Amino acid sequence: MAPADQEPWSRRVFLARAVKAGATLAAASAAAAWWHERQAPDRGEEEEETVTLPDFSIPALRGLMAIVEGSDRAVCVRRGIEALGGINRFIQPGDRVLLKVNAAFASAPGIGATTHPALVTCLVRLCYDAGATVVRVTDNPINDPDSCFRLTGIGQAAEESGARLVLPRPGAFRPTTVPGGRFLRNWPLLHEPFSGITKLIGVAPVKDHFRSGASMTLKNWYGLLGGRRNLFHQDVHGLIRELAQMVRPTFVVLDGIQSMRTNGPTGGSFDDLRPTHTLIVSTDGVAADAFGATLLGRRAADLPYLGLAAATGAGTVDYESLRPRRLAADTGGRA
Amino acid sequence: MSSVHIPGRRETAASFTLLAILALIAAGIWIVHRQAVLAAEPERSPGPGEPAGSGLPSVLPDGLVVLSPPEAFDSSSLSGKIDGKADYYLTSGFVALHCQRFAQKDSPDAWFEVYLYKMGEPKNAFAVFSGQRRESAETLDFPGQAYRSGNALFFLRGSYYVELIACSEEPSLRAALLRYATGLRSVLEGDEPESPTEEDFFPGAGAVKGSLTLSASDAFGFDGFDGLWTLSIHQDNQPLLAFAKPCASVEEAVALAETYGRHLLSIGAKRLPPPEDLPDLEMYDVFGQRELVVRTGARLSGIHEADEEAAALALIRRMLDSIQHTEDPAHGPR
Repeated sequence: MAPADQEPWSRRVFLARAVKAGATLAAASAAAAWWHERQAPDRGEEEEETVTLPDFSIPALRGLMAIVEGSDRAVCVRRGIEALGGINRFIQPGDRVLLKVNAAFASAPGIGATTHPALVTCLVRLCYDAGATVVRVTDNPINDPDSCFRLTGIGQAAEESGARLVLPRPGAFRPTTVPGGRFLRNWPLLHEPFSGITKLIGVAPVKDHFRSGASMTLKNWYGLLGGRRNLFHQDVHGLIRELAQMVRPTFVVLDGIQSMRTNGPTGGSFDDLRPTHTLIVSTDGVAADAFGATLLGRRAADLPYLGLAAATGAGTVDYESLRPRRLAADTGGRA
Repeated sequence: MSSVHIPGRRETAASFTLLAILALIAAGIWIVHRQAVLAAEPERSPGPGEPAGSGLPSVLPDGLVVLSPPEAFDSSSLSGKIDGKADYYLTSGFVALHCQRFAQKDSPDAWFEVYLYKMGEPKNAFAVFSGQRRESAETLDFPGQAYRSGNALFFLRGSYYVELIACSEEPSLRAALLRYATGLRSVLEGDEPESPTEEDFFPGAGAVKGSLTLSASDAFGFDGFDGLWTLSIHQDNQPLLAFAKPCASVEEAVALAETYGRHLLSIGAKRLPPPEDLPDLEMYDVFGQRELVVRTGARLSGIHEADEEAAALALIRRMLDSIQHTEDPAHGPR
């Protein structure tokens, strides 16, 4: 029965409408066929299972921080770790340790854009001295990995100290999702180096960064991502928040013996560096970075990602609340 | 006889609701698909051996050898070389980057890398050159705009900006940088850039040599200040930062002055009355510092974040006096 506001359809109207409806369906189907990709984007594997990094922190050791003044990186990091109770509090016999360095650029160690090889050597040896059975060193650099690990001196330092260098390769990534994350959803994570790992140490230099304001221990986890991660720079603070949520290390080392105050994150001239004679060892990456901001002449409030990371429970911006141990490591520095 | 069906309000509303739902579904599919594609794609970072197009001109001086193959980057792949710094170049007119490493023949561990940035226009090249000038820049016996800073050498040639970054400050390596730069400059196309001088914008004595800077975008955190020139000047022993912004027309300059004033007020600045002899001056108290803005023709000039009001006023008087004597204040420097 026809609705009250219209007359019954005639045969001609019915046929005309049927033809129009058919044409619409055909056009929609043709459009769908045109845009349909018969193969999903190739991720190198068929269907990969999403992975989540374990929490590598030690609950009883959360909120520890040492601020060491000096000029010799190896001496400073040793003194800093001793001040927090010694390496044996963090690394136990049989542990398998991953050292996440910043090897982002194929530049010389003196440029200060990457983790200093002296720190790699020292940390690897400390881990083995504590009884670690395996120590790996890894990063997914911005530039080509071979050149980065060779020219920064990190590759040589790792190998000479007995660590295994794990370079990124296509099959080394697995998708990961940060709960509630906007960016890291089924995103490729450099996962292969984590196989069997029980402890994670992050070690990064203090650097200016054009986008995020600074690149220190939290931004260093960016090197665990694959894919077109550079697109995240549009909201780099939000990304670092998710990185802080994704990675909970055993401890971090922030190298401010020299700090890249300008033209980061690449630098280029030695004049971009300022001697700041400070190295931080902490189980709280947010606190370490909040202090590191001061080495760049900035306040923690100038780096929005710190507050965002703290809100995830990754640490505290108020590093003084941790009552950091302050010590002078050698006579070459200010102390 | 056929009749035209006139849809009722409910029918129309239901149709639009269905269309909106379909649009949302389509948007959702696009977002999810885009995420998957981006996750699957590696960053575009050419590795050693990848063809680098026209690359660097072949100007290898005696005593140097090639350490690594050439690399080339465009605007979509630049971050694969310089990461977060790419945005700085991209907002300054970046076109292409060519890189290559070289080493000393008798000492392979003594190496350097050449970065040849093609910036499209000389003023773009000047923007990235001046914006990154190191404090300790040493003047160099080199034509045009160039300086040395520790282990590195920087120069301009037409619309090219060139960096030579060495792994150390070793004297023979510094000499090699200069030899390579001299050879490269001689073969790069482009007239000498019409680089402005301090006198073009900020006449008078007291300018800190080499401090003239062009900010391509968002100078002072204000998105209206694209193409802003700044210069460090000492006035009455006070370090001051003068600025100038040439506009296309008087109307644009008037509007920009008003917009900048609103921007300052929005961040907490307070407007102050100008001195009697400078009735056109806009003066603001920005958390204890002074911001001075004045329009002359189609140009805005001013002093940024001055600690001492008296020194800032003295400098703006001097600048205005000099601007009145320039030939064409409406169109800025060459």
